[in-house]
Amino acid sequence: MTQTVMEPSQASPAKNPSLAGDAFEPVLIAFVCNWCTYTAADLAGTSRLTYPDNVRLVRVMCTGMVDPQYVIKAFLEGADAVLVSGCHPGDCHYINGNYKARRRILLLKQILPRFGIDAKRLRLTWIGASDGIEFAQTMTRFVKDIKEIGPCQARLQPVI
Amino acid sequence: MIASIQTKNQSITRTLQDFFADLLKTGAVDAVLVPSRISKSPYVKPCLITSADQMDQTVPLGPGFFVNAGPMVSRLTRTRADATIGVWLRPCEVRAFVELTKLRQGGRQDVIILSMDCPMALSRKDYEDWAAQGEGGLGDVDKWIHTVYQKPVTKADAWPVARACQVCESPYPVNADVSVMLMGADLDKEIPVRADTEKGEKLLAALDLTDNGQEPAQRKAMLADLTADRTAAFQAMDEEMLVRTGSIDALNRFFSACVNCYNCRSVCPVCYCKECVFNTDAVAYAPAQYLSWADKWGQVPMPNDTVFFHLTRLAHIGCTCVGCGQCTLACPSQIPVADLFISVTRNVRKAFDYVPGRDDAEALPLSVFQESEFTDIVGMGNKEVT
Ligand code: SF4
Ligand code: SF4
Ligand code: SF4
Ligand code: FES
Repeated sequence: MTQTVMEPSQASPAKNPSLAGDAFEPVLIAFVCNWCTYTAADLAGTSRLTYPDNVRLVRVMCTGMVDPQYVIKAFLEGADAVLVSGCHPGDCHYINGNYKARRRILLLKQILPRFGIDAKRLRLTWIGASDGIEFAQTMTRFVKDIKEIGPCQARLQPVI
Repeated sequence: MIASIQTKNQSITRTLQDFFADLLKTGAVDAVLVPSRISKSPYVKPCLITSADQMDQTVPLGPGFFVNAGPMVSRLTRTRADATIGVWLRPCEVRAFVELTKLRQGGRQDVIILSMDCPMALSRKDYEDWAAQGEGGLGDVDKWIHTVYQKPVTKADAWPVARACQVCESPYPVNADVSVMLMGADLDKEIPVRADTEKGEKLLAALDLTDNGQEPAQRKAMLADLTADRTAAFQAMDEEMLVRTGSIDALNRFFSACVNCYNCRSVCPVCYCKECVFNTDAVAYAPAQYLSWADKWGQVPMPNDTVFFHLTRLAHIGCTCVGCGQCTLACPSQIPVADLFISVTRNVRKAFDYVPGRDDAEALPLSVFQESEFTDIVGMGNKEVT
């Protein structure tokens, strides 16, 4: 990401090429479960499936350990979008972590939009270990969606 | 049963003081928790009283509300007390205690909850001005009481109540053992008291009270009016908050005077963590981290993580904020913290169909789950739940 020094009022996509129009390259943080989506990402890699390099994977042991704080901090540090992705219902290695994650994502989807962070920037998906193709497609789709929405406000100006 | 307590000396304060003294004298309870003046200052705090002759400094109903007693009752019930404690709580204090029991921070076994149609609260500044008038330096409590219960105070009154009270969704008892029904009562004559549980029945029976009272005729209608008034005021506040905090820039401005003192957290009755993450090493960054933030934007305010702190708190109490307004009262920077928290949380909890304090049996939304629920928030093209 371009390390531009700017006052909040001056912050604008025009001044930062990585944030402007077609050139906008979103930063996506994906919290992926070790047992499924992370494995799917690995599979996508070894199968030479391509997906945009805008995605930064954060491997977690289960979606149930993704504290809402991680998601909030990711956005406040300038992520344009956050994905939480884990095992399908019934497949969680810790039995119910994904069900807990679902409620936490619902909670965050109620809170973040109040402050101008579009609910579409936060996604929860279930992607199994053998779904390498689905993983690549999901990432491609997510990056495309976020390019359409544009940069998140916290990317354009610092948050106190 | 609904009993009628005769008003003494035309003073509701005096009548209630005697009522609490009687609870102790008859042995119906071993202690009472009631707001009381500290060293005859205008400030009141919940005090645990075991002696019947210590009632004269208590202020059972007044506009001073500087501690939400919910967590105090939690302290008194964390383990078994081997005693019965009567706790006199505002409705939002009952709500807070109910939420804490769901977190297993306290239980109802050893307490009898007495609650009331709420006397509302004043902001700190207004309270100090109000308290400065009247003899003894504590305003005219009985006059306050008469105003509140004959014509519920509104924003337009001489003493506009705190914003949290202006938008309070239930300034009347829910989930208490005994409800004191002051709204619309003929307070020169009597105070109607209703037992809502078996414990409550026993308590009133121990005082030799009988089922000779009734709910004030106007009470239901007055409470309905009050609720409608409060609902409209909430909507106005919610809209105001959407404007004042609807973007990151606006949020920065809203909290620009925040000094990260965390008072709002300390006084919040439902901020439940034993150790807050904002007191841990998780936010003790290396010097290089600060320099890298400064490099990114040209500057970084210190302390930082202000918005992070508030959003985290919103996530933690998103379903359980009881709307007591203590956070605003405690803020040294006069940020209307409660306006924001009440606005956001009252919308957030709708997604879980949850109301704090409504029902002991209702589980905290983030402590339970069902296998088949909220499926529409999963996936990429899902319907948005904004
Ligand atoms: S918030 Fe409601 S219950 Fe609490 S003091 Fe104000 S009016 Fe009473
Ligand atoms: S956030 Fe403020 S209004 Fe809500 S429960 Fe805590 S102290 Fe009371
Ligand atoms: S009490 Fe006020 S200044 Fe202190 S942390 Fe809360 S909002 Fe900030
Ligand atoms: S182990 Fe994959 S979501 Fe719990």
